[in-house]
Amino acid sequence: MNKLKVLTNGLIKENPVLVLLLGMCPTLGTTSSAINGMSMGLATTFVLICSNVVISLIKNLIPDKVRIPAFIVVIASFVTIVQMSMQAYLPELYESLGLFIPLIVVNCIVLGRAEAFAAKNSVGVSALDGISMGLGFTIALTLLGSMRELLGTGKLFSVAIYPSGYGMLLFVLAPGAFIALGYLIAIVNRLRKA
Amino acid sequence: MKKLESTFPNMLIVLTLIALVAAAGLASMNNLTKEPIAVSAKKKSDDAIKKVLPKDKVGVIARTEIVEVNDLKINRAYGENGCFIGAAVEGNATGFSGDVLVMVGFDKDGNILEYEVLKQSETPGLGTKMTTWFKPQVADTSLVEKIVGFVVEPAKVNSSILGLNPAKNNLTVSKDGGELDAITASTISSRAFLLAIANAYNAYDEAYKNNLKNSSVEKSIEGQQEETEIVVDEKIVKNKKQVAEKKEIKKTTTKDDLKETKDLELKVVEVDTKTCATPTNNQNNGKEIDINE
Repeated sequence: MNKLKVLTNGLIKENPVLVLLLGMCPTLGTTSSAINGMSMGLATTFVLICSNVVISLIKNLIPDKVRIPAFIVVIASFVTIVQMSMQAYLPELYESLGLFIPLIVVNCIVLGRAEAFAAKNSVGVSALDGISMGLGFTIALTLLGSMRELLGTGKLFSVAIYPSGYGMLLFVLAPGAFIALGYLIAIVNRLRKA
Repeated sequence: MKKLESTFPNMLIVLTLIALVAAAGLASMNNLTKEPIAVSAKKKSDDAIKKVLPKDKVGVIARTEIVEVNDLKINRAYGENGCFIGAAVEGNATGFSGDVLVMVGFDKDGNILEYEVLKQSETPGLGTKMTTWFKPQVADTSLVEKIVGFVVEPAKVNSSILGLNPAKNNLTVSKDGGELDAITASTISSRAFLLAIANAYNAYDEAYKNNLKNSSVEKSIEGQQEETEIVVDEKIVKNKKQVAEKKEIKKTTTKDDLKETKDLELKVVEVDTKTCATPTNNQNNGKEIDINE
């Protein structure tokens, strides 16, 4: 398999959020600001890379019938590691992402890549796939977070761009997340077809 | 290597092994991060105390002492000369979605110095504004305004609680007859925030009165009929009942302390009445305060 193709797959062509439409819960829930979206993306990327590597290493040791519980245990361990280190070293970020960090365990992107890719491929390629999918996820979340923050509060990465009184509060709230995501997907679809 | 067959022993062994390895890894990770997590939690509360009791207003905090009233934590701060200079008090209330926990800094007269929202889960963009809304509005000039050179004046609101005293000012939103403007479109969050402040003040007030009484108790035990002004009103009597249990514990410790530090204690009382405007808590001061004779 072409390694470069694996590496670029997740960015646009098979972007987990904008094309595969996986992991909608953290996508909509954590993107109220650009920095939140980016941090969530990076945390997921770490889990994705680690779980892909470990699962591709032990894939032959796992009997088929218990593969899902085995994968979940591996993923949950890495999520807990992320959670604990975040709580220790980035307490403010940990508080703003809150419940969504432990919920990475049930993020379908992570389990989906373990099942569809890491369980069938070698370690190196699986790691690349993790990087690629993780970056795709991070980019999508950062874009969505930037859109919502800019339209909703007039800021971008907490830098005031225009007076906050002119922000559309709707975009900070949940309905705005759906609207922004819809437009983002439409734009990416147009780009892919062109 | 061939894939393992899905037989019962295989499945059992593999799953057990994976779970064991994961548990071992997480246990060691927990050991590694336990200390930093505790440190960052401690730092957070210390920072909040420092923030709500600003140095330029109350001076240097030499030490703090934690008292609990109505399950609310009160960090009483003492200056370098052992005088009570203010307290950082936690107050809570139920907001629009979940609990609101605020830390408020009171000076020794009960004026609000500064506040910090410790926990809230209000609607983003609406109720979350409580973190800055009740402070003097700071103009945040945006990029566009800088480029165009035309500044949009933010709407004038009367919402700052800094410098106000809950005993003298009516700290409720204007809808409830108070003197503060609520956060636009977030009256419930605003009410919750102000209720949290009121709870913090009540706890502060109660602790302060208990303190006065404790110092009078000490003195009567000692047989020193020193005249201290203690205003006994109905409220104190009511408080007395509520905290009767807590006070009993306090009394016993006071007696024990006094036995050990009889002489020092008396001197401390003298020093305090000379230098401090208000009586301080002398319960544990005896050993810790350095009296320059």
